[in-house]
Amino acid sequence: MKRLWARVRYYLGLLGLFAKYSLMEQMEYRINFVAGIAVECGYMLIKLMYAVLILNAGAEINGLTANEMLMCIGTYIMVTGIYMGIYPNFWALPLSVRDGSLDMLLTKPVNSQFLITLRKLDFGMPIPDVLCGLALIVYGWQQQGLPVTFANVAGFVVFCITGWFLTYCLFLIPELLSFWFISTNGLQALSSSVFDFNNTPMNIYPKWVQRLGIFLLPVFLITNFPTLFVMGALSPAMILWGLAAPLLIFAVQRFLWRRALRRYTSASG
Amino acid sequence: MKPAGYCYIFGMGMQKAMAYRADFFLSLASCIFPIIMQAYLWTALYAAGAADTNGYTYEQMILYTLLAGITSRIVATGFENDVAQDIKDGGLNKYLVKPVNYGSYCFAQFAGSKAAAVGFLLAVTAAVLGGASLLLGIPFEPVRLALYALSLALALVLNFSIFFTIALLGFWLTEIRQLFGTISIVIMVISGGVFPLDIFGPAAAAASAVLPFGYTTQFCVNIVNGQLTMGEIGLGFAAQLFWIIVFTLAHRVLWWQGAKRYTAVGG
Repeated sequence: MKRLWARVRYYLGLLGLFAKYSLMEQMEYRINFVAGIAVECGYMLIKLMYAVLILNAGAEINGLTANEMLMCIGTYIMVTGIYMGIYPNFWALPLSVRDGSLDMLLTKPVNSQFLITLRKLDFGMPIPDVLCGLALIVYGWQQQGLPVTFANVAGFVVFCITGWFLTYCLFLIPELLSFWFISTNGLQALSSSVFDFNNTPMNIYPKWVQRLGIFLLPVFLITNFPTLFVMGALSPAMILWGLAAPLLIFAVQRFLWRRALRRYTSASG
Repeated sequence: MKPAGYCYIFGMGMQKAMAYRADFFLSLASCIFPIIMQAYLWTALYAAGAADTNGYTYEQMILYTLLAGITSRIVATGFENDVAQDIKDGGLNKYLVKPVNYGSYCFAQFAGSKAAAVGFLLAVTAAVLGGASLLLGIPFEPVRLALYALSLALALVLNFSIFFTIALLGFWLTEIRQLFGTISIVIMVISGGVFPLDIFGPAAAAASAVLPFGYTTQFCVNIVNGQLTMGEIGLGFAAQLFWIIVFTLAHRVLWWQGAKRYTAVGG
């Protein structure tokens, strides 16, 4: 236990250092920092259009009111924003596989996945998403009159964290295919568009799509479960699945990571 | 350069786009999911009797959703990064010393890179229209389909002109590539690539009529779904031609001014 705690502290310390150096780098290139915020504002605009449509409609759809749907969209915007904080690492992974620059990272005495996927943190891109997402969540929560209890807030936060972790695992898997294929842009576009099913709450889809999105490719867990938990609409089995699914996907992703690294040939390094 | 030279560049653009075929088809397939998602959203909103759409019927809206996703993919660019990179890194040198018009070169390559995708997407469009006719019972007038095809060709030229003009700002703004992401997304939204803008109120409708962007997607789709009268279609074509001329003149002026201050760094 003591050793585990020491390792956790070591990795948290490393994460702190990554954050420090990333921030220093971004402050050196301020235009990139501002451009990152601007790009994310563009994507947020699309997500907000869905929120405006649902708010204008103001109707209850398949058991969810407009305010509860706003909470789902807000959660999606916020979780996406937090994911964008580590996105530069995901973007760079296929490039470093192709040009062999992964060599240097693999020789370091730390967990390779931790180093490769978390070493660059972007502080600009998450800002608009997190602020806007939080605003939608608070607005929807307040307008719906849902109780603000410790259990509700804690459950909401826990499901947001598991949602972010799921996002991390689900987006890393397509990137890993760059160890097998030269160009993975198409697959990245495909996985992003599947993720965008979260632009609207899952209750607008038919039951079979919902089941696929909950059990087979659990993208709906990311943004629907926090709101459903606060509404008291999750059964104990579903709560358990919501907590177990990220661990299962993480196990799959770790298996693929190890297989991928075994294929790495350090071409043009 | 002779026209045969540009044909060769067209072929090169086509080969480049098709170099990774699985990647190419997966990229195209990625436009299916947003379409499915929006179709379900509109179905749920219309079923709840809560769709505030400024006159679009359910059938028109579903058709809009299906066609806007494909149309915005057909007219999408992507060459602007290469132009900005050429200006920034000095790659423009090799075009300046050759008897080639850089704008025509980019257009030939852009048209070549789009050819295969456009062919594939037009086949998908035909299938979508056939399916919509059978399932939704929407009758399509052949005249409107022909006008849609014409509007698409003009929309491609207009979108090229818009993005080429923006890319040439790279002569003045060295870090413009960082902003292309934002510009592309904003233009996609205000062109009606996600939702028709006129459902967001009179101000949005007026903006989409006045600005050039709506004539790259929303105008084309509304020809087919019957939202526009023949008179409005005529005005729309006039607007497409007007904006093509405006942006062609704009990028000529920018090229002329920009080439004068170009310092050919690197190369």
